[in-house]
Amino acid sequence: MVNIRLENITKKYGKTTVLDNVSLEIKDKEYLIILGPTGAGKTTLLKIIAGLIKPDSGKVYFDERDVTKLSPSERNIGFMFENYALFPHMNIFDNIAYSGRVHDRDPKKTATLVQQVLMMTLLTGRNNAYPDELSGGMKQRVALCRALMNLEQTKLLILDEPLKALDAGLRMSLRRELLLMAKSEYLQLTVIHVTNDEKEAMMLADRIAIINKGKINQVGTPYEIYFHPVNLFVAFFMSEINYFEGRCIKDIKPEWNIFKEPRKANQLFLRIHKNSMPMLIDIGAENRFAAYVRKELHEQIKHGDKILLIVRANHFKIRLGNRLKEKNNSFLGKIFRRKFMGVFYRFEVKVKIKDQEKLIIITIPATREIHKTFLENSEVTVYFPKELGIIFKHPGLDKINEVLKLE
Amino acid sequence: MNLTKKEEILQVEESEVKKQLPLSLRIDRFFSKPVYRKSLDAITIIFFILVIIGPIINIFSTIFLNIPKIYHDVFNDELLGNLQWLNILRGLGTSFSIATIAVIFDLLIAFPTAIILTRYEFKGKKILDALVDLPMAVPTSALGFSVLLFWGIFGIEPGYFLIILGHIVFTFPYIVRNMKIVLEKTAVLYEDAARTLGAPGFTVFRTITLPLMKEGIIAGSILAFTRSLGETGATIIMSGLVETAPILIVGFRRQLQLPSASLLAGILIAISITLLFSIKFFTRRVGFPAKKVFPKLERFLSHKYLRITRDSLAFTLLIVIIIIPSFFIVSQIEGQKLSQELFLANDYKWAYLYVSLINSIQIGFLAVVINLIFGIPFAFIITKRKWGKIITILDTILDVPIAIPSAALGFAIFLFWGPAGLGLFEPGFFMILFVHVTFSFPYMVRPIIGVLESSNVGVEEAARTLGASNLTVFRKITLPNIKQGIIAGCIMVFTRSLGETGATIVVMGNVRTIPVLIVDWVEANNFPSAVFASILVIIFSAILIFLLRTVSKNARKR
Amino acid sequence: MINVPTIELKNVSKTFDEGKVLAVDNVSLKIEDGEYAFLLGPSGCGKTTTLRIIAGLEEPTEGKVLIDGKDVRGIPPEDRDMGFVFQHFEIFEHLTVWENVTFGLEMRGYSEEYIIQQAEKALKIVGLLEKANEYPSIFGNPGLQKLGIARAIATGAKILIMDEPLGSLDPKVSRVFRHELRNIVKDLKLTAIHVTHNQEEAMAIADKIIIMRAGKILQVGTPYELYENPNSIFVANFLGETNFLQGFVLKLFDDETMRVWIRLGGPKLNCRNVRNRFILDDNVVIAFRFEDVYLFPLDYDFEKSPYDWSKMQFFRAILESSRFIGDTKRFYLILDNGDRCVSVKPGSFEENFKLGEELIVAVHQDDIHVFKMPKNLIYELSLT
Repeated sequence: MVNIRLENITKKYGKTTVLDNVSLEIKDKEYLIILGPTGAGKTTLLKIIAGLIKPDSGKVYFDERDVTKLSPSERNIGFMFENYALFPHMNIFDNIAYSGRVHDRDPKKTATLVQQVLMMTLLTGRNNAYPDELSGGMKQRVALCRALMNLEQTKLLILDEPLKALDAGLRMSLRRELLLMAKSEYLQLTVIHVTNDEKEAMMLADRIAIINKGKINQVGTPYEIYFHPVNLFVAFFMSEINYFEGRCIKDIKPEWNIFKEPRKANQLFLRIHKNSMPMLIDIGAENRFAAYVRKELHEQIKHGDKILLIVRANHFKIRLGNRLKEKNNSFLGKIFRRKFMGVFYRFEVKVKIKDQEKLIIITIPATREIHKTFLENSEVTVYFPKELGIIFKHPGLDKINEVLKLE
Repeated sequence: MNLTKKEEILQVEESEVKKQLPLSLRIDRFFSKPVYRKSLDAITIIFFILVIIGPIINIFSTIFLNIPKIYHDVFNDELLGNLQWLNILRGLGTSFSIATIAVIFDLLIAFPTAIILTRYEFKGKKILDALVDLPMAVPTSALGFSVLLFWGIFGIEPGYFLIILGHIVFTFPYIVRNMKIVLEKTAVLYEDAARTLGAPGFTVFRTITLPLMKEGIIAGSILAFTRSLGETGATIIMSGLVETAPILIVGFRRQLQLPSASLLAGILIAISITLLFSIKFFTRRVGFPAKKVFPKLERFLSHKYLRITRDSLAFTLLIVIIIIPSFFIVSQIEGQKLSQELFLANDYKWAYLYVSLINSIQIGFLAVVINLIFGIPFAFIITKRKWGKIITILDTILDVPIAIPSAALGFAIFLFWGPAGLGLFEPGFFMILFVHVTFSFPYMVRPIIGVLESSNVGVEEAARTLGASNLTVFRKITLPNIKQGIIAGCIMVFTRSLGETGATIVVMGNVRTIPVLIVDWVEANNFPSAVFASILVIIFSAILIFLLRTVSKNARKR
Repeated sequence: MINVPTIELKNVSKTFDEGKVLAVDNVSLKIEDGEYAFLLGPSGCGKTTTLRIIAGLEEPTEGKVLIDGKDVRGIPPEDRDMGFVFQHFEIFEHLTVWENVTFGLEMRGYSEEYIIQQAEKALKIVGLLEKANEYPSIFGNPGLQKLGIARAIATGAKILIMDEPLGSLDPKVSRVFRHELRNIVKDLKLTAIHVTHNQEEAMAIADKIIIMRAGKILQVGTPYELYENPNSIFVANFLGETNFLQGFVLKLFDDETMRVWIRLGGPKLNCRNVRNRFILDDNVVIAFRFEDVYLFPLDYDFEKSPYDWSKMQFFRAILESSRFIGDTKRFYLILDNGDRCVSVKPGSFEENFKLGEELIVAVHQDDIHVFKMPKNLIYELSLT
């Protein structure tokens, strides 16, 4: 029932700018995920929406009403904290009923609601337990119940890394429950969920807002973020990538005929065509490569300008033997390392680009045949469909190191 | 480390490498053997028993062994009947009432102050923080004198009321510090959660902050209560004709009425120990009403203007009742009178001043060294040894010197080591040193325990996996990490020693330390000299406190 | 020394709290020279305690610990030649990067030239050589762990012990860094033991996985072996993502296969009956992985494809919802009997399915694992 709008939010702590002119809109009933590495400013942003922190500048609107100066107790949202913040001196029932008591609601009604919400999250019968007696998964559900009790008016639920403290296995199984609960007929919540796990974001979000060092890099659906990352950071964050440096080629001879239409009229490819166009590049391989670039950038990049080509590990294909003549955008190489990972096989393929050895990372769905045939040291051809290659303006080596080097 | 050597070195094969441990590491390995650790533990425990437990047990045993004599002197004197006993009761009653009133008043001012200092952000916060700590920098006798001079302007004579005003000042920094620590530990997280659930400020405080602080506040209040109970130096200056229990002890001692002194000391010690142990076992029972909510009333109470009024009131009281009286003395230097009395008079006051200063510094320094030698191993025993209940007992007894009235413990030490007991020491320099070592031992150990507990066991394990023996781990890893705690401990010991009055009076014989000199001079009405001496010590202590804050700030930064 | 396993535990148990807590229960395992082994299991399963026993930070209550064939019980960690990497890094913050890395070498008394050589090598491997003179405070978590690894490998120890080394890193960072970690272990030919609760991590970089639960070892094998032949419902559930359906044995065939009828009028599926373990009417739980579920529209022409469909098991289901996850696509299905199952396909899977559409679902006979119905199915399916 509420539309949230953040306008030019800035927050500094001493010399550090934690949030830099952030604007964001969250639509009613949307499941929005704010995704970014630790320290990006995500939790600060959540706290500003909740009113726990006041921004240095900028405004927060709930349904076009300026709530920036409103205290958290008046915003009527459900906030679930990382590590849950269950009141240690109160039992589960009192924790969950706290909101009702504080708003002086009818105690009988509150009690019924508490039982309902406990049932919904499979926690009945543990009313008198104290938080330190519960497992991580149970604490998470209690924290969720407590937050749900407070959002009647706004139907806005804010989750600060709700699954971070749980084991990996539990995390995967509880994720979907969160989504189903938020989208249920009964609740129909607007959710703002913060996480640093890109797979979690892809699993749950209607839209993702990617934030790094206090700036929002991109906001879009999982499709948009995955196929149309707006910069190297976003591309890198969403999956393993391969990157190639090269130059743009704009004087194209007609006989080259590289821009064949995609073989199948496929939803995926059609979507991509909408926002980008093909471009020819030279990355130092034997042949010229073709990939796609955003329409705006296509004008800005001149012939000979340095570019960066990104191809996700998942978008490379691999064939045994030398198939350079048959496939565009291909490299000849040898399988250096291979690893069975379950759903996927991961290959590291050594190829030569301009007399320098480069390792291309490829992940393909694992089958028994692959297990038997694609062995280490086999000669292979790796290639990618041009629609899945993404071209950026070359951001400079410093920027590349900043994004890719982990320190 | 010289990276350019890389070019010069040929590949060094492992087989060519000399594998000979340097001497320091070999020594470490040798002394890491369990037998040495156990010996060190034993020596430390013996020290602890002798220094702290011994005198206390001795007091009680003396009392029991001398029951007939005590009974005669206190209850059944030929001339006075049970007058002594009535005196004792009166003194106890006075001390108790003073302590209660002072602590309550302090809590009222300390609460808003601590909240402001831990939860708000504003310009000048650092200054307020330092201001609040400062009375701790002033040794008690100088403090008492300053309070006396200040309120004297308003016509308040030495006596019961003045003592209360003095004790409020004296115990305030401890209560505030304790509250700040407790508030800092109480996660803001829970308060934030409560706010998002709709609770206005006052409700958050009552239902969340207060219950979570409960144990810490009670512990802090009880400790503050016992300090007030035992305060001697300042009280002597401010008391006029009123006699608190510690003053009585000092009096008994001066008049060599040892049985009465023993009894009162024993009573005071017993009360303090009981209070101390009760902290550990009974704070859980006390509850605050946290369930009922009064939304309209509490929203009103949370209103901004009410908050500002309350904070301003607290701030005003803070300045008027605590800060100004503490430092009033600095304004009381009268140059001419001072030089006349101190330097030109022919009773060599300045010589006394000089000697007392040297004594205080020497004693302080030696106390630091001795406590360092035994305090570090003791802190390790408490945090690292897995001796179960024994550790809990040692941990509780450790605080006894803080909780026990200094005059009482001073007397106990006098009894144990002096002519009436083992006869190893005469009243004088070394007995004073002994007393100071006993009193300041917890002040050395507690900060070290603090850093040891919060320090990372993991890094020590990492060092061991890399091949370091236990002693090497201690030298290269643990020690650098607890450095801050050790320095803090040393500063606190020195400060405490500098200000120690009550017990020193009991055991000093003819030797003087600065705080005692101040008391002497005030009693003899040599005010300008007393002012000068007080200011001297204040400057000294202020520098020390400043150092302490710098060291703690650096520790927190990492 | 090649014949003897590098690390061997024989019947090791560990109790805490005067016998009240049994953390490790009669664990026996072997790790060969150069193997990158994982101790994988939910929190509290005893994997960290087992690791610490190998490192010497704990002593076993019972059993033997053999390194290169030698019994090392009673030998403290400082005398065991191993590198240890910690979850929270445990970097010496008061020492520079260089001094951290040379620490272990100094403890061993090597000559200065050798120390410099080894330390430079280690720092180069993790890419921190330029930062040698800095203090660790300049690093974020990834840098700190790289330093921790450099410090552990600098001594030249041949065994690397790691306790959730990636556990304190962002998921994205750990997904990238794990491959670097494996490369380091393999390049230096170390024997490594790595503890984690993250099965994705184990599957991605392990040579051998040892699955533990409640202090016991459940199964040991390569990722491939465990994935293809889980020996229990827990293992099948813990590794990867798996669908479970309950049913009973309807018919037995001669070639070690059988037909199972899924409960409540569900589909009838043929699956393996290895060594004829199951008999008629046995209550069973069948399991097949998300990625082994194939989907076809109702009008799919199976004749056109040259693929041999004979071993595929077909049934119908309604598409409840689907989701694009980038590298994969997920399809949530409801069977006729109300049971649910999930299919995972590559992100490039081409389809025109509509929500609510009925689809043909196929699973290969060999991809179906069968287990006897356990007394407590909920416990078996729990991931804790």
